[in-house]
Amino acid sequence: MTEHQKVITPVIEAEEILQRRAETLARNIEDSSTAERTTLMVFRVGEFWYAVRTEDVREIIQNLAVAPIPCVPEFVRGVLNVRGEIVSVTDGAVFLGSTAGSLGRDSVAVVLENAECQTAFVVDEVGGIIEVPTTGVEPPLPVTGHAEPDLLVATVFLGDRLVSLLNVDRILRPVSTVAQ
Amino acid sequence: MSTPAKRFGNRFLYKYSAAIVALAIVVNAIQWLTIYLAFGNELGPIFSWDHANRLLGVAASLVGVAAVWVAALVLIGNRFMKPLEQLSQSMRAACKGEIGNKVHIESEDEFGQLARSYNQMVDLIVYLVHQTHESSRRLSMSASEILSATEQQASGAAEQAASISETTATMEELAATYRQIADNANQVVSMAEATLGSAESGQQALMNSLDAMEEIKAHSQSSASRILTLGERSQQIGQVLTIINNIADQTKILALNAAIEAARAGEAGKGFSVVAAEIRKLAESVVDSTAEISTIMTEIQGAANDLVIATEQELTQVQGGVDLAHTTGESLEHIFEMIERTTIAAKEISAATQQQKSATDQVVRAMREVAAVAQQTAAGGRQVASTAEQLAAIATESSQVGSAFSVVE
Repeated sequence: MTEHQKVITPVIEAEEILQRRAETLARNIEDSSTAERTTLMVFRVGEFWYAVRTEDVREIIQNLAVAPIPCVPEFVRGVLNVRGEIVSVTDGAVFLGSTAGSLGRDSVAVVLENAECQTAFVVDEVGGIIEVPTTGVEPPLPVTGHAEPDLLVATVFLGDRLVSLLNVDRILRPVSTVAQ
Repeated sequence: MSTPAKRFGNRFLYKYSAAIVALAIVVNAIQWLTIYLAFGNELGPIFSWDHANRLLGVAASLVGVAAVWVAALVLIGNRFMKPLEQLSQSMRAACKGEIGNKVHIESEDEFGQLARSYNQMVDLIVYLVHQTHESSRRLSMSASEILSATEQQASGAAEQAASISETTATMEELAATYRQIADNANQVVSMAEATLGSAESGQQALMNSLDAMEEIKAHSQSSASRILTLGERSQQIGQVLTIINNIADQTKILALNAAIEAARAGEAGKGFSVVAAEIRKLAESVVDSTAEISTIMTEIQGAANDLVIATEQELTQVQGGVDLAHTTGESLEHIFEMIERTTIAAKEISAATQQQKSATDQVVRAMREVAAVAQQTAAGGRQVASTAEQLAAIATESSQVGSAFSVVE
C-alpha cells in the first residue's frame, strides 16, 4: 500500500502540500494576534451552511444509534446514548425546513447544549471550526430575518459563502419543552 | 476358168460324157478293126466305090446314132447332176452369208444322203449362228453391265479414297489434338504438383501461425489472469482505503471535538485548538489523498477491466483466428485431396490420351492400308473395266461375225 502511494503521489506534489500547509499555519498565527476573534462551528444542512458558537457545542458524534421515541414533534428523531448520557436527537433538516434525510452510520450530529438542556443536532456535513473577527459577524439579512427572527441571529460571510449563525437557545427551547 | 472351154471342161458332167464318148469311139474302133482284120477279104468288096453310097448311108446312120446317144447321155447326166447343182448353189449362198437354204432331194441314193446330211449340218450351223448372236448379245450386255459396275466401283473407290484421306487427315488432327491434350494434362499435373507444394508450405505456415496463436492465447490468458489479480488487489486497496477513510473521518470528528474542547477552554486552549486544526487538516488531506487514491484505483480498475475485456476480445479474436486457421487447414486438406484427385485424373487423362494417340496412329495406319487397298481396288477396277471393254469388243466382233450370216427360214 505504501508502494502504491509512492507511485501515485510524486515527491514534488508532497513537498508542495507541505509548503502550503506551512504557509497556512504561518498566516493563522499572524491573524489571531491582530484582532479580537470569535470561534464558530460551521455545518451544512440541505444546501445551506449554518454556524453555531463553539461555546454552545459540547462535541460532535458519529455512528448515531438512534432509538426512536413516540409522541414527539416531527423534528425529534429519538434519543441517543452519548457515553452513558441520554440525549435527544433533533433532525436539523426538519427543524430548518429542508428535506428530511435518513439517519445512518454516516450521519453526523453536533451535540448542542446550554444551561438547561442538550440535544444531538443532526447535520449533513460538519464544515469545521473557524475563527472570524467579531466585526465579521453581521446582523441577519432582512429577508432571512423575517422568517425566524429568533433562530437566525447573524450572518457571516466566509469568502463567497453566506453562513447563518443560529441561536442555540432558540433551537433548544422546543427541545427543552418536549423534555419537560 | 475364165474361158468357156475351161469352164466347160471343169464341169463334171461334160468331162464324164466326153470320157464315155471317147471310150465308145475307141471300143467301136477296136471292134471295127477286129472285124476288118478277120473279115477284110470278104469285106473288101464291100468297101469299094461301088458301095460308096451305101457306106455313106451307114456312116451317116452311125453318126446319127452317136449323136442321139450323146444327147441321151447329156440329158440323163443333167438329170442326175441336178440335185448336186442345188446343193452346190445352197453352199455357195451359205458361203456368201445366206445360210439356211435347204436342199430338197427325195432320192435315197448318195445324193439324197448327202442332201439330208447337208440339211442337218445347215440346221446345226443356223443353231450355232443363233447361239452366237444370243451369246454375243448377252456378252455385250454383261460387258456393259460390268463396265457400268466398274465405273460405279471406280467412283465409289474414288469417294472411298477421298473419305479415307479425309478420315486420315481427321485422325491426324485428332492425334495432334490428343498430343495437345496430353501436353495440357501434363501441364495440369505439374501445376497441381506446384499447387500441392504451395499448399504444403501454406499448411506449414498455417501450423506456425496456429502455434503462434496458441502462444498468444496462452500469453493473453496469463496476462488476463494477472490483470484480474491486479483488479482484485486494487479492490483490496479500496477496502483498505475505506478503512483509512473511516479512520480519517473519525480523526476529523476527534479533531473537531478537540477544537471544540479547546474553544471551550478559552485562552488556555488556544494552542491546542491549533493542534486540533492541524490534526483535522491532516485528516482532511488524508481523505483527499485517499479520494485521489480511490480515483486512481478506480481508474486502475477501469483500465484493468478494459484490459480484461480487451484481452477477452483478443482471446476471442485469437480463438476466431485459430478457428479460421483450422477452417483454412481443413480447406487446405480439401485442396490437397482435390489436387491429388486432379493429379490422378490428369494422369489418367494423359494415359488415356496416350492410348487414344496410339489407337489413332493405328487407325491412321489402318486407314493408309485401306487407302492402299482402295488404290489396288481402283487399279483392279480399271483392269476389270479394260477387260470389260475387251469383252465388249469381243462381243461386238462375235456379233459382227454372227451378223455376217443372214438366216433364211
